[in-house]
Amino acid sequence: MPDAISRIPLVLVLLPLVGAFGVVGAARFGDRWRSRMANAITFATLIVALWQFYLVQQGTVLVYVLEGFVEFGLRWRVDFVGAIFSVVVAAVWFLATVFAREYMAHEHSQTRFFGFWTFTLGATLGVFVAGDLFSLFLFFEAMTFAAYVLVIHEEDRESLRAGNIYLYMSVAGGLALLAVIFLLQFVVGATGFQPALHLIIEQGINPWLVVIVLIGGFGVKAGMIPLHIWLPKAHPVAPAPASAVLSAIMIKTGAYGFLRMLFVVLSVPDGDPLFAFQQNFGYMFIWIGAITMFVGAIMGILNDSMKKVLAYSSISQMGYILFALGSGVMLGSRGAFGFAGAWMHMINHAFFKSFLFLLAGAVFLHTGELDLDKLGGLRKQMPFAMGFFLIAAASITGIPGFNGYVSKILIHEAILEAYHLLEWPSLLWLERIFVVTGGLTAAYISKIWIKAFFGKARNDWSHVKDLSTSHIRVFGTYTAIVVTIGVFAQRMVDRLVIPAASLMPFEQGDLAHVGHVPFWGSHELMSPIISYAIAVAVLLLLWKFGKHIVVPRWLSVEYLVYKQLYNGSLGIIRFLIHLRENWIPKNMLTGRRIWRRVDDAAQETKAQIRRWKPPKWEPPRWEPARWGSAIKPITKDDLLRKIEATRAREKERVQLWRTKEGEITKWIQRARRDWQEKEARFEDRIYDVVDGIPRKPQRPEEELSLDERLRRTLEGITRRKFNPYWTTKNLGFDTWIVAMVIALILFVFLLAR
Amino acid sequence: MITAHIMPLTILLPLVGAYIILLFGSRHKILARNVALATAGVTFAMVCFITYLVSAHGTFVYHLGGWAPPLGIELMADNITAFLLVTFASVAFIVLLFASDVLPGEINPKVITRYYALYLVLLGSLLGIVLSNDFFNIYVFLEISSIAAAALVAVNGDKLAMEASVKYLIMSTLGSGTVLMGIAGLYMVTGYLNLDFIASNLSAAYAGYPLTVLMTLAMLVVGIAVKAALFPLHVWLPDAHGAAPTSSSAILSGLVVKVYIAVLLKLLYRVFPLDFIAALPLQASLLVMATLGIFVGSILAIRQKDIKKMLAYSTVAQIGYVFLGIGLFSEKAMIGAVLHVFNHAVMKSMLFLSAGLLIKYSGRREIADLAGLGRTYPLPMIAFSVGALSMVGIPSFSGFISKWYLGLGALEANQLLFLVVLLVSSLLNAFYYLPIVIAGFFKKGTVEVEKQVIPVGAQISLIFLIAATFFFGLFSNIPVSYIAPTIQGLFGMFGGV
Repeated sequence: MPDAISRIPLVLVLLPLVGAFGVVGAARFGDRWRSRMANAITFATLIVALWQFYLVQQGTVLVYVLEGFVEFGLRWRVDFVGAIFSVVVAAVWFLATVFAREYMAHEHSQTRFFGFWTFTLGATLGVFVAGDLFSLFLFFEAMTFAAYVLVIHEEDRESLRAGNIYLYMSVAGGLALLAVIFLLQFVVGATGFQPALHLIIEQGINPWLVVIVLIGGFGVKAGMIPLHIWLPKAHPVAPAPASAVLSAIMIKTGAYGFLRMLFVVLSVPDGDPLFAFQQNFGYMFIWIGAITMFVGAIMGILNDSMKKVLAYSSISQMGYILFALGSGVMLGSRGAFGFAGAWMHMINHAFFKSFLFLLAGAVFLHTGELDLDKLGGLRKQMPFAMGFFLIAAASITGIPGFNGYVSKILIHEAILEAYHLLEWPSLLWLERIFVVTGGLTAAYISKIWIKAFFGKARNDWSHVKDLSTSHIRVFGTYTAIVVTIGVFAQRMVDRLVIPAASLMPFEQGDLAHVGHVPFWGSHELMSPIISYAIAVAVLLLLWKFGKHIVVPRWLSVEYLVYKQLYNGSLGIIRFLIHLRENWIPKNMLTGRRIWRRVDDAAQETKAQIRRWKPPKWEPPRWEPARWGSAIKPITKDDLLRKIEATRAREKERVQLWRTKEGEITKWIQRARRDWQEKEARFEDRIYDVVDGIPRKPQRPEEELSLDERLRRTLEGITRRKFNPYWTTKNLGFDTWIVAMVIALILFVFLLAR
Repeated sequence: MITAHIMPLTILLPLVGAYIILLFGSRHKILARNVALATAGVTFAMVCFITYLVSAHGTFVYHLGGWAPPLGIELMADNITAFLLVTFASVAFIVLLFASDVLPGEINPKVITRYYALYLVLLGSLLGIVLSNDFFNIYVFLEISSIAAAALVAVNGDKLAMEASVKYLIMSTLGSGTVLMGIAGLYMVTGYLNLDFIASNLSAAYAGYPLTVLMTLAMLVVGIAVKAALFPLHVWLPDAHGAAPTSSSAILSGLVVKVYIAVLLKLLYRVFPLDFIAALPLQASLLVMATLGIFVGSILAIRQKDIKKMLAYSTVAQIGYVFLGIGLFSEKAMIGAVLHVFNHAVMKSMLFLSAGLLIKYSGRREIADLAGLGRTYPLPMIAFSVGALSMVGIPSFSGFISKWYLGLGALEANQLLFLVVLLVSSLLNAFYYLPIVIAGFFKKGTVEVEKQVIPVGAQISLIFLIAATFFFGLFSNIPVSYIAPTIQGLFGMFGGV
C-alpha cells in the first residue's frame, strides 16, 4: 500500500492535547462553556478520526514524521488497524464526554477533570497512530500520567491508594517497555514495527528475555494476571466516565502493543528455524489468556460491587483477547482466526464495556449506590436503565444479534483451528476453559442485572428518577452500534477485520476462510445456550452457597506474589541497616555509650514485660470421693463455694497482674525519667532531628563575631561527645571512613599494577 | 580586543564584581544586588559569545600575558568546555535571580552582601576550572571554589549550617590534598603542568616511573571523587546541601559537584591515553562505585523525611549516573554523561528552588507536611513536579534524554547489566519523587498556609527552568549536535572502544 505524507494523524493527536488547555481556558466563562468546549473538541476529534479512516480505507497509509523531535523524531503511521481503532477511541470518548456532563455536574474540580480528560484522549490516540515503538512509548507514558488524575479524582483515601498502585505499576511497566525500546534501538537501529527476531538473536540476546520484558511492559496496562492488581482497585474508584474509558480504551493500548509486537516484530515465516520459538510463546500467551479470563470471571462472580464486578469482567475480557492473540501467533501464517478474534473483540469490548460502565454510573448517579446488596427492585423506577442493561448484557454474553457474539465465535474458531492444525490435547482443554468462562460471564452479568433491577427493594427508591434524555441518547447510540455490529456480522468482518488482517503476514486462503464463518449456523447459535445453561447452574449454586464463599486473603495475588516480594526487599534493606549499625566499631562511639545504656535499660524493660507470664490458672479440682465415705451429692452450697473459690483465685490473679503491671509501669517511668534527665543535659544541643529548629524557644543569640562563632563551633565539634540529635553526624567517623576508602582505593590501584 | 581576551575576562568579571560588592555593598544593599545580577548576566552573555566563537572557529586557545604554554598559563575552550561553561553560567544566573528576591527573607540581612560576593567568587572559580588548561590553575580555582562553597553553606551562621560547612570543608580539603599530591606527582615525572604537554610526555615518563604515574592517576581520580561525592565518599554532601540556604543548595547540588566532573573529563580524555586507563581497574571501580551510589543514594533518599535532605541524597544518586556514563567508556554513554551534567543542573536547581519556596511559605521541611501546598502555591509545586518527572525519566522531559544516551551507551559497551541498573533506579526515583507531587496536589494539607505573593524574580527563574526542562527534552538534538562531534573525535582519536 502506498505511503502518503499527511498531517491528519498529527492533527488527530494535537487537537485534544492542545484542546485540553482550551477546555481549561473555557472554564473561565462558566461551566456551560467548558462542557461545550469539551464536547466540541471530542466531536471534532471524532470527525478527524472518521476522515482519517475514510482516507485509509482508500488504500493509503498515512505517514508523518517530526524530525529531530525528542531525540530521534516522532513518527506517525496510520494503517488500517490504527485508523479503525482511532475511530473507536474517539467515538467512545465522545459518548462518554456527553455522558459526563450530567454525571460530573455535582462533582468538585470539574475543570481539572475535563482538562485531563481531553488530554488523555490525545495521548491515547497517540498510542494507536504511533509509527514506531518510541513514539508509542511517549504517548503511553503521557496517557499513564494524565489518566492518574482521572483515577484519583475523588481524592479520598481509597482512591489515592488505588491511584498509587496504578501509578507505580504503570511506571514500572513503562520502564520495562523502555527496556524493549532500548534493545530494539540497539539491535535494529530503529524501533519501527518490522521483523526483528533474527537481528535480536544475532546480537546474542536471548529472545525469551525480550518476550518477558515485553509482557512486563504491556501486560500491566492490559491487566494480565498477575500484573492486574491495579485494575480492580483503580477502575471502580474513578468517576464512571473515567472508568468507562479506562476499562474500554486504555487497557486496549496494552493489547494493541502486544498485537503489533507479536504479529510483526517478533514473528518469523513458517519454515524458519525460529518458528518453534514463536509457537512456544504463542502457546504461553494462550495459557496466560486462559488463566486471566477464568480467574477474572470467578472474581467477578464473587464480588458484590457493581463497578468491581465490571472491572474484573474487564480483566476476564482482556483474557479473551490475549487468548486469541496467542492462538493466532502460535499458528504463524495460518493464524488469521486468532488475529481476527482478538481484533474484533478489542473493538467490541470497547463498546460494550463502556456501555456497561456508563450504565453503572447512571445507576449510581440516581441512587447513590453501587453495592449490589443494597440495590434491588429498581425495575419500576428505572425501566430504561434496565432495558439498556439488558442489551449490554446480551452483548457481553454473546447473544446472537449483538456484537459480543461475533468476536466470541471468531475466538472459538481460532482455538478450534489451532487444535485441528496441531492436535495438541491441551488445546482442547483450553477450548473447554473458554466455554466455561463464557458461562461464568453470563453468570456475573445476570447477577448484576437480577440483583440491581429485580428482587426486593432494599432501600427507599421513591425519589429515584429514570435516565435523563441526554443519557438516553447516549445509550441509544450505544445500542445502535452494538446491534449494528451484531446483526451485520458478516459484513463487519469483511469490512473491518479482513483489511486489518491482510496487513499481517497471513496466508490468503486462511484470510478468505475468516470471511466465511457461518455466524448463523446451528452449531454457532448453540453457544449462548450453553453459556446460559452454565450460568444458571452457577447462579443456583451461588444462591445456595454464595454467602459462605469468601476468597481467603492468602489466595490473592497481592499476598502470593507482591507481598512476598515486598517483604523480601524490605528484609534485604533491614539487613543492610542492621549491618551498618552493628559494624561500627565500638571504640569510635565514645559518646554513644551513655545512649547505649539508656537504650539497654529500655530494652531490658521491654524484655521483662515480654518474659513475665501470668501464673498459670488451674481449673477448680473436684476432690475425689474416698473409699468408705458416703458419696455426698453435690449441693447448691458446694457449687456456690466452688464458684466463690474460683472467683477469689481469679481476683488474686488479676491483683497479681495489677501489682506487676504497676512495677513495670514504674520501671518504664524510671527509664523515661532517666532519659529525660540525660536529654536535658544536652539541652542546648538538641535539635529536632528533622527541623533543625531548636525544640525549646531559642535563647536570643548573643552578638558574636564570625571568628568567635567559628571558634565555638570548632570547639564544639572537637570536644563534644557523640550525640544522636546532632544532625551533622559523626564528623570524625566519616572523615575516618573517607580517608580509609581513599587509602583502600589507592592500595587496590597499586596491587592492580 | 574583547574577542581576543574574552576568556580571561569571563573569569575575571565575577571576581571583580565580588570585589566591587564588598567595597560598596555594605552601605548600599540594592547596589550589591544589582551589581551581582548584572555581573552574572554579563558573564552569561560572554559565555554565550565564547560558545558562538567555538562553534564558528573551532577550539579556542588563549595564552595569558602572551607567554607560551610551558611557561605561561593557557586557557582553552572546545565544544565540551563551552557546553559546560554555558551550563554553569546560565544556571548560576537563574539561581542568582531567584536568590536576589528570596534571600532577604531567608538569611540574616547583614550577610546578604557577603553572600553575593561569595556567590560571584564561586561562579568565577567554576568558570576558571572549566577554562583552564593547566593543572596548577585548576588546583587554585578548585581551592577557591571549595572555600567559597563552604562559606555559602555557612553564611547564615546558624549552628547546623556551621557544622555541616566545617564537615564539608574538612572533607574537601582531604580531596584537594589528594588532588594536589597527584598534580605534584605529574609535575615530578613530566616536568610540566600544562595538560597537553603532560599528555605528550606521559609515555616517556611512564617508561621511567611507572609506579608514580599510576599513583598519580589514582590520586587524582580519588581526590576528584571525594569532591564530587561519588558514593562511599559522599558523606559530607547530604549534610552540607541539606543545611545550606535554598539558593546555595541549588548551586551546590547543581553546579559545584559537577565542576569536578569537568576536571575528571579533562583528565581522562585529554591527558591519560585510553589504553593506559584500560590497564587499570579504573573502569571497574568507577562503575561499581557509581552503581552502588545510584542504589544507595536512592534508597537513602526514600528513607528521608526532610525534603532538602532527600534532594541531597538524590544528588548522590544522580552523580552516580554521571560517573556511570564516564566509566562505561563508550561514545553514547559519554554524551549521556555530559548531557546529564547539564540536565541535572537544571532539574536539581529547579527542585531545590521550588522546595525552598515551599519551605519558606509553609514553614515546614518535612515531606509529610508539604501535602496540599499545590493548591496554595501552584507554581513551585508545578516546578517540583516537572523536576520530579524529569528525574524519573519520563519522555519529553530532559532527564529522559540523558538516560536514553546512558542506556544506549551501556548497550554499546555490551554491559546489559547497567541498562537494568538505569531502569530499576528510575523506578526508585519514582518512589521518592512522585509521593511528594501526589501529596502536594491531591491530598489535604496538614497545616493551614496563608497565601503570599511569590516575588517576581523567583517566578521568572522557576518558569525559565521549567521551560528549559521541556525545551531540552523535546529539542534535545541542539545540545547533542553541539557536543557529539567532539566526543566522537575523542573516541576516534583513540581508535574507539
